[in-house]
Amino acid sequence: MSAPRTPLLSIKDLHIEFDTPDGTVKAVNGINIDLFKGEVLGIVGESGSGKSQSWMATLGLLAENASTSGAVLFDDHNLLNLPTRDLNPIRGNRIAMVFQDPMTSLNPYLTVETQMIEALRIHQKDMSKPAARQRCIQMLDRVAIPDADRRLKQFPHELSGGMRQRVMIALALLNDPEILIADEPTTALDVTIQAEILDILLDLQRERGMAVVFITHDLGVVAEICSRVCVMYAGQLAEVGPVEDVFTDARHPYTLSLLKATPRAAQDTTEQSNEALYAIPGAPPNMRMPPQGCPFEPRCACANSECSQENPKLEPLDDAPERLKACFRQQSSAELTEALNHGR
Amino acid sequence: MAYALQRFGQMLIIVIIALFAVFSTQRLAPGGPFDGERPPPPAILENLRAYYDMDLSMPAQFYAYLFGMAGREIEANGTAGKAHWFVVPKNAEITTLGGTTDRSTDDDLFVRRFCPWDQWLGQVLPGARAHMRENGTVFRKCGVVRGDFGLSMARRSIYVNDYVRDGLPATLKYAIPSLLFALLLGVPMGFYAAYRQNKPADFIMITIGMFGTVVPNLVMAPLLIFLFAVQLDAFFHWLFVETLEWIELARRQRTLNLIPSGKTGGVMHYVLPTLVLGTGLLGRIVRLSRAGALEALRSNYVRTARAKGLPAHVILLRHVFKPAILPVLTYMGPVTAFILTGSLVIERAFSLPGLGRQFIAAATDRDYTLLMGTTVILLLAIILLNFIVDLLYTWLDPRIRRGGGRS
Amino acid sequence: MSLLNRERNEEALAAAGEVLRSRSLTQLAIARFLRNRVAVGATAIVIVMILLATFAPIFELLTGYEMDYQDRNFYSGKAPNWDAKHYFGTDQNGRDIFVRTMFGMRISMLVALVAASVALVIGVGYGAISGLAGGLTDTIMMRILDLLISYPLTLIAVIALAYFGRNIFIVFVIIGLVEWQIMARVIRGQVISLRNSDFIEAARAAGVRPIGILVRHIVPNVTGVAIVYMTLIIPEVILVESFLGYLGLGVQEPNTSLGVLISEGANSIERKPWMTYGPGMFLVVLLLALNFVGDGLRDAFDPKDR
Repeated sequence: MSAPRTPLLSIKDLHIEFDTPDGTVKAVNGINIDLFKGEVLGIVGESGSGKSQSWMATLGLLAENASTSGAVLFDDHNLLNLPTRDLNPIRGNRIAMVFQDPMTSLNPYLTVETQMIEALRIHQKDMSKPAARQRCIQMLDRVAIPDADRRLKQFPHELSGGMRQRVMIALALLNDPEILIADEPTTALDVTIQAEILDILLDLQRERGMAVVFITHDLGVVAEICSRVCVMYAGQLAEVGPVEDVFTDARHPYTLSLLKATPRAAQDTTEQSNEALYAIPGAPPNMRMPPQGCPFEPRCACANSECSQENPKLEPLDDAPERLKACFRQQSSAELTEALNHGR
Repeated sequence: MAYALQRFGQMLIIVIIALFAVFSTQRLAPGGPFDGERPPPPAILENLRAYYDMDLSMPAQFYAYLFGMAGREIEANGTAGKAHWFVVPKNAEITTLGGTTDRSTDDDLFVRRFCPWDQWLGQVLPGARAHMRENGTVFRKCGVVRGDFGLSMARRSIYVNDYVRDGLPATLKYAIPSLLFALLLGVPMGFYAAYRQNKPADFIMITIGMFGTVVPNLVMAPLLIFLFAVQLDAFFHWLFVETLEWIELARRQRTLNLIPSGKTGGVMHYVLPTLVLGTGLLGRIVRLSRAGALEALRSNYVRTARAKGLPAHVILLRHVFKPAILPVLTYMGPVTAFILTGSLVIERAFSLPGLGRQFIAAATDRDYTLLMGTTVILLLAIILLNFIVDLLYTWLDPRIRRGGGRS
Repeated sequence: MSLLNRERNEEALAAAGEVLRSRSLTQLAIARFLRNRVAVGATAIVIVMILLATFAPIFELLTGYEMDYQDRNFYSGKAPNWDAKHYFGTDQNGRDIFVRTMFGMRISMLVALVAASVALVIGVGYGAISGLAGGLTDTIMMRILDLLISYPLTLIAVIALAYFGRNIFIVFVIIGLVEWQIMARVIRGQVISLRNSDFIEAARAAGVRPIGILVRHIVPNVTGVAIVYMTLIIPEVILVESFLGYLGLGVQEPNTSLGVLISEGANSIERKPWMTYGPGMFLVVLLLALNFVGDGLRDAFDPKDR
């Protein structure tokens, strides 16, 4: 791993706010993420932590009432203030996205064929319709949809959920994007189908060497497929680093709580069989009025007075410069675990 | 298609129920078409009532109205049987339309009692006997199902069909243009407002929509008459009458006059009625199509479309149009109701000889047959338009097309 | 002061990382409504108009309801004249249009209230029965409603009024019979979502009889929605009344309504346009304001549908 790699895409100090009738919601508060070529980056966090919104912002897909500041740098462009006209050649062509809910993400009024071909031909203007159709069939075969020719003529409601999500993935990969943003692509699906979809996704990633951003709240999935992980909490990054390091030696109390709150089927029988699953006390902060200190402080077992005064910055660890965390406590993972158990 | 047909069948049932409801309530209500200031003598009244089948039971009357048959026993020698059409046995004595007395030669002869004043007028229908022998039933020549609405009760020499033939085109002449005006202008306006949500353009569209919905026809009509007919006329007079005589000439020849006067009006006579009805519809359609487009624009599939890099016009036309037009389509049923209700106001305000005017006249004069005739036409218009809407619906929404119903 | 305290409380709660659910839904809705400036303005206009209509007899003292006897020839069918205190002019019988408009508005509002209540009762009843019965009954009732919405019930009202006389109470009831369908549909949706809710389930499990559930749980929870939709029905009802009045089928002399006044004015629009101005303006403003109030209330109670 050479030290100064140039990132493919980098998010710089991104802030996102939503203007709602009941006040301004500060969904994302100054996050910095670098995405490198060919990596699978996991974004983990609870619902409402801003993990999806921050990546929606990169493609300009936020709702009308959102306002952003900061920058998303991609290929010398700042995607945040690029006009739609200039953003469109990037959308779906160089950066593609797969959404969470396959049931509603395809247009129910149009055939699969129409929706796939339009995605191809908008970026490859000289492609003929039969050629585009051929490419769609190939792509559907690739995501293991049998009888692709017939499926193309169908409407989304005639496909099963897993099938629709595979269509979504095929749709996203039609133009060989450099970056694929997968926003909880398997959350709405059965576990067995989930595994299939993940396999297909990983295969395609290796085959094409594209960067994948995998947004999820499922730590197991992250451990399985990601190389690096960003843990988000209340619109901020809590911890960033290689998956193995973060999961075996978590340094942020939130990451640790999250890990301890995750059921692990394999390990439960051996180590923790007698131990009840950990539940993080309290609820995430109200994002209309984020606290002035560390957002995790009210729920943190290791917090002290400093934590409620000031919001910690995301800084490299002393012993591992490729890892970052936003916490004043400089304890090791073991010490934090002790504190957590004690605090209960 | 199956869906649309099913809906059509349901609507037909409702139409028949509605017709029966109107039919029976008007006959059961106090008062009747024949009690004016100088009611006819009891004998004539009885004949009149018999002639219009009003001496029958309510279901029988309705049956007779629909199928033109009173469904009574046929009595010997053609002396009784007070129905429009009935079969006279052989050698019965009848009065023909020509006024001469005749004897029936066939065993089956059709007689229509044409005049209520106890004169028996008959007409020999060739082929009637053969028809009866073949079908085992009586040859039906009149009744609503055959397109015969009968004679008017208030003016007994005029057929309701003639009223309808005059009234329907007059109503359609402004109803259809106003619907087209509202749809062709309102849908793009609503879409544009949704696309520019919370921008000045949106605000203007919402205001137009609001005013169209809120300013009633009965305010709009006199207002436009005053502005265009009275004030504009005065304005033209002031502007042109001394300098350009030909304008005044044209005005006198009613080519510049926007107010309908007289029974046969030119195109210009329908401009203001169209505008009045059209703006009311426009407001509603702008609001509906805006709401529909907004919902579609916020949907996940439009987000997908944006993520594909599709330009705005493709998204609007391909991804938003169909789902956004559906609420407008659903509203077409109430729109028909709105037009029909509005026609009453408009035809009164502009003195147009349309169905709406006849409807009110029929209701106030207790002209049972005329009221039923106009009601039939109005109901037919409603189910026809609803049928078209359902067909469009099936065409637009694939989920209905392949089984299932509208949710 | 108490508002300030509440805000401070909120801050404290938020700082503690608590989810804010301290205010009831109704309070939230009222707060949302008060923030909607257009709706608040419209409410003020409606209140002023209600006051004007209520105190219409006071204006009668100003100029008299019957013809102006000061100089009948001068004041019959005259344009607005501030010196003579005929602000909207007089009609062909010398009656002051402004006073007539106030009295007309009075009848229009009375009709609105009574007819909207009739619509409320029918709509809530129909919707509640349909929603509670469920199954085939519900399907059939909703189908009927679906089809009824496509039919111009106003025309049935025209027939009914023509046949059964023009008594003001008949007008009330018949208009109420015309305008209940949307209410029924909304109430049905509300009832169904309530029926599937846990506390009804609990009540049923505890052995409360259906009537008890209806009276004690469903009715109180449906009332808010019913009232919101009643404010949306009221302008419709006023519209229908003025429509019937315009056709000469509404209230009869000496009573009058906005529709009747506009009808009278429309007949002589070419020579006496002021006879239409006053009533027309009041009708439009009233409808506009009522619409804004209704929309505002609906948005406040149901913010997702804006």
